Amino acid sequence: MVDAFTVENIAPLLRVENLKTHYSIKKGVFSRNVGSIKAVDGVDFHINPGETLGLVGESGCGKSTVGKTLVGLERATAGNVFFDNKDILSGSGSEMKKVRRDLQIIFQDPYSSLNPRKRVKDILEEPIRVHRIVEPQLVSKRVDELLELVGLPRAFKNRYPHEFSGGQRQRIGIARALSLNPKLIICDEPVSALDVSIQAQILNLLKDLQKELNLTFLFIAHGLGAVKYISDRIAVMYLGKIVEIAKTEEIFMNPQHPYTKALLSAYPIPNPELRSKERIIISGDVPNPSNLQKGCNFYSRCPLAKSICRDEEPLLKGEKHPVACFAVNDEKKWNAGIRL
Amino acid sequence: MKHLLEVVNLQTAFQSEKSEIIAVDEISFTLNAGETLGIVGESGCGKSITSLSIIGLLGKKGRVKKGNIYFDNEDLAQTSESDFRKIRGNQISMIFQEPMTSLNPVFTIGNQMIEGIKLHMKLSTKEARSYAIEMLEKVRIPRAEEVMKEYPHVLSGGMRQRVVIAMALACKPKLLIADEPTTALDVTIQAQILELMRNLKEESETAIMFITHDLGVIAEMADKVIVMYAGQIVEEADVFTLFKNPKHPYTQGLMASIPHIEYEEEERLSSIPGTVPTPQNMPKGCRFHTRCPYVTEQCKQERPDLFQINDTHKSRCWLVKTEKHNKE
Repeated sequence: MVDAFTVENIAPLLRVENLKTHYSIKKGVFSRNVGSIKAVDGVDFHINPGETLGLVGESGCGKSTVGKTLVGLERATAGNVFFDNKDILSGSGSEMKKVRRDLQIIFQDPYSSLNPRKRVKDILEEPIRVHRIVEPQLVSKRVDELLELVGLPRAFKNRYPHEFSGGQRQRIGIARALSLNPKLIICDEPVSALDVSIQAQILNLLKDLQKELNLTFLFIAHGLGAVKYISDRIAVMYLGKIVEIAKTEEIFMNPQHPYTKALLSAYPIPNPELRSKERIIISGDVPNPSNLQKGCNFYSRCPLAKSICRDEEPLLKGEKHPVACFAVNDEKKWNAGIRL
Repeated sequence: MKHLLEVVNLQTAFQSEKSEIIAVDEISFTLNAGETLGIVGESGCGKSITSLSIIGLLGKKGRVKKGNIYFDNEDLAQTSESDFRKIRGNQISMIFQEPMTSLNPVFTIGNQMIEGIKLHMKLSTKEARSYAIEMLEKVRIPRAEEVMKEYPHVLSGGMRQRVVIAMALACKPKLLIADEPTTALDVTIQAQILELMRNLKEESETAIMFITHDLGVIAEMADKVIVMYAGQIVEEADVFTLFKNPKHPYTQGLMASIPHIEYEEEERLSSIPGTVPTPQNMPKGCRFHTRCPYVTEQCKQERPDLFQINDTHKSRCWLVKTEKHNKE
């Protein structure tokens, strides 16, 4: 891990500007467009080389859609994504093929992301052949190397995915992502389907691989423990927007946004002695993303909400620790509001 | 004191095509009224099978092969299906992990709630209806009366789980089995549900069996804890002792492998090497010996018992036995 903050003016590997991914809702015989779900609605962030950015949030906040849009599995509605200073949203097919080599993804469910009718060998060989990573006669050697890299015996390459446990399958998924020597790997909830003791194995493996191969990660997860363990910086998402972004220690020791505070406070801590600690329990559910009102997306559940929060949308502001909240950024305006 | 639930040497087996598979073995524990027992373990350790054995939902292929399940002086292992129907949903009820699959999608919430209440409480439809609304309000569902007319798919995950909890508690059960009730929910919703369950427990004398893989949730909810591994109980203790002084190497490994959010910095997580053995090829001797850092010759040959450390603390490990021996 490189502490990218000490190095000023380092060019980020990935820069995302005002990214929007909307899904249209179609209805009726003619599939008329009747509205849209704003899964990702104006997201800005960057990731420096060798860094891990954690992206956390609850289900439906759009964190996985960000990942999918970055690798081209979803089409962005608006915004720019620069990878290695190239705009990857407007690139041509052949250019994109090159970019995809450098930008890989690991999926959540190791059971559904591996083709059950292919042997491990075939799963790993295909991308190497398609992208002509090595000479044809060296492909099988490369597969052996990959298996070794993720801690699986070579003999496993002739087996089918169903013969493996969840943790082993996730290792195969990681080996597949590594097969093209990528620069950035998007890890979309890579450990949430696994048992606790296996989670630790995979998290350690990812950390080791990062050091060894100088990888950059976007680590998408809802488990705060895992995100804290692996990330250098963390971005917190709520309903398609980033509400807070800061270095990992900052987020955990000094959270600013009321949603981040509630999220941290709700997380059950494995220590019964701390059971009596005061919790911030926010009421209600996440609002329906197809029917969002103007103003701050969190105001319906926010303990600090005032009339300003309902009327105006807070922007992500701040140098070192950007937060999107009137109560934090614009106290004057917030104080003037009426308590909801 | 008489226990509400006493499980003695439970062994549950499933019939597969070729052979019989023992899913859980040598399970013994007790639970008193008003107490919360946490059962923790990884997938496949037998924690769900234990609870399904108690509530009699093992299906056609499963059966309680050995042992007794005393509930209110009755042995549930011997109870006929028709007698069980009077107990299930009435004196013992269960909450499952996925609230969408435990609600019927083609009936309204009201329909489903009233059915159980009428069946067990002998109320008229009108009385059952108003009681159902009262229960929904108790689990803090807003607009309870309208929700009665709605179908499960309109509700969010957290709301559905509240409905399921309201249904489970409607007949004032003596024992509530909650099998991963918050695993499918988001953290902020999980916090709401856990708080709700804590409050409901304080109001009634219901005993709760809380099954989860999340040690954080266990620390929040349980009075005493059972740790299961490969179909057996490997450690049993009150929640404070278990987290402060875990004795079994598996429990220790489990605790060391969770990333903490309350610590400043963690360099590296320790993990338990290998994977859980399958019931078809259970290792000889201690079932954990293939992954244990302290393994000895004895562990590979002999099966350890659940040794008593003190009145409330037990561990299935030869180390405990030797340690105790050395002290004496």
